[in-house]
Amino acid sequence: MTDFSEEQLHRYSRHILLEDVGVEGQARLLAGKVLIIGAGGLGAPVALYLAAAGVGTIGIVDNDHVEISNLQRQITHFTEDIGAAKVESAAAKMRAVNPDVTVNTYRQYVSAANIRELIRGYDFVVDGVDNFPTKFLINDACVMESIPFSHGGILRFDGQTMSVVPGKSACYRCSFRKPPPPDAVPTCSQAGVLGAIAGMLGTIQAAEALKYLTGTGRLLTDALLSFDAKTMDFRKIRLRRQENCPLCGSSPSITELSDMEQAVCGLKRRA
Amino acid sequence: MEITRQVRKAIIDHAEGELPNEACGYLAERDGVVVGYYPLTNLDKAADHYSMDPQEQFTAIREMRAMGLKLAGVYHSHPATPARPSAEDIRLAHDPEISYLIISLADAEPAVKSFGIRGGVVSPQEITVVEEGESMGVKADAVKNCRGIGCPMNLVHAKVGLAALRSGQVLEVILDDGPPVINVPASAGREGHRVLGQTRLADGAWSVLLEKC
Ligand SMILES: [Zn+2]
Repeated sequence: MTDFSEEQLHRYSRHILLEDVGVEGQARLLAGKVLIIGAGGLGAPVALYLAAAGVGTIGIVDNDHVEISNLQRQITHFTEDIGAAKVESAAAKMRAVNPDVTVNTYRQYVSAANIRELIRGYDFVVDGVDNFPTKFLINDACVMESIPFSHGGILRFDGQTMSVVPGKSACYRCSFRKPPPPDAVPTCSQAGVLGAIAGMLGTIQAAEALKYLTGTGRLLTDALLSFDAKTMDFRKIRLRRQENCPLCGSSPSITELSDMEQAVCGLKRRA
Repeated sequence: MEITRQVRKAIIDHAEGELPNEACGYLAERDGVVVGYYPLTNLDKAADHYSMDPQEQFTAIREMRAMGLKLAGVYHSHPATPARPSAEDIRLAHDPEISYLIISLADAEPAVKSFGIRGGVVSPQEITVVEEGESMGVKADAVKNCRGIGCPMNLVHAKVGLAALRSGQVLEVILDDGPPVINVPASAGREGHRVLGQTRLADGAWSVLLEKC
């Protein structure tokens, strides 16, 4: 059992008071390790809430630097951070929120070559990337490494998310076999996105990570939650694990990772 | 009657504090043991008789109910006479179901005696003093002193105390009177822990015994 300092008792009192979290749950958070892939619109609220919650070790991966067009939704980055590495900008805010937290920064793209190494050792992974090929890569790598993760995506006014516990619940490929062809789906930067929905979806992902670490409630597994912020309609579709899933099915055809062609977005390849 | 050492001491302290006048108040029980007391104002402010404030009586009864306690009796002091009911005490004893406890300060060593009074007939009752906690047949495995710690941090400390225990072990939490002693046992009970009992201590704080679920 973690020995809480008086300051920690105050800092985490609202968790400790929660019947389903309590002292034990907070101790699990402090011992927990979460990797956030993408320090953008989704990664920002996830990073802040997980740091505030006292998740002991948080890794954050992104190769980009902060641009002025990010500031409309990527709330870890401030105007003065323009030009800085996103991971460093985010890490500074996370440490400022909670000095208890160890932040590991990875300024790199995720690729088939490095992702398994990156996620290994983390308890939970949050997908906060903005393109389909990387979402599939995260799904595939997490299933192969047996690490639970939260998938999330936003576009325009819409968001969607699901949690995956490899080997137990439907993976992303059980329902969506392969990424849409490049340019079939607009990327964030082409289509635009309402800034606040990054917070709406990112905080759902953060809550899933906290639920997983504390063992509280039921994860958003075997379901896809989607919303349309224009009408504020939320929909939860039941998903089932597929016997013939090319990744997590009984005779998988995908047994190693590969990089897929990515939509070219403003001539910049994103991870 | 059974009374905890703490309550017995507390009502003697109250009686001495009111000298030269009589002190009065209520006694509250749980499972047949007097575990709490409610000092009430003696409106008469006199050395040889008392009358209780109806508003305070009402509030005390309501607080007892909120904490699952029952009225066990009325206590009052005799600053200069022995611990036995006066003619007026007998005349004013309306409830045959409760005990009438008298604290005499006539001698150097205070005397405390209890009586049942039914239809003008006085019957002495034996008083057994029990230790706090022991009154519920348990001894606490750990103590959290939350005096001066308000809500909700007192509950945070209580939960930290419980987290360090094994199921079935007992935590004694010392809580301030008022919202703390109402809220903390209720919250602990909601989480499945058993509230074994609560005892009013001499300084007005409460000792609450919680058995970890
Ligand atoms: Zn699958």
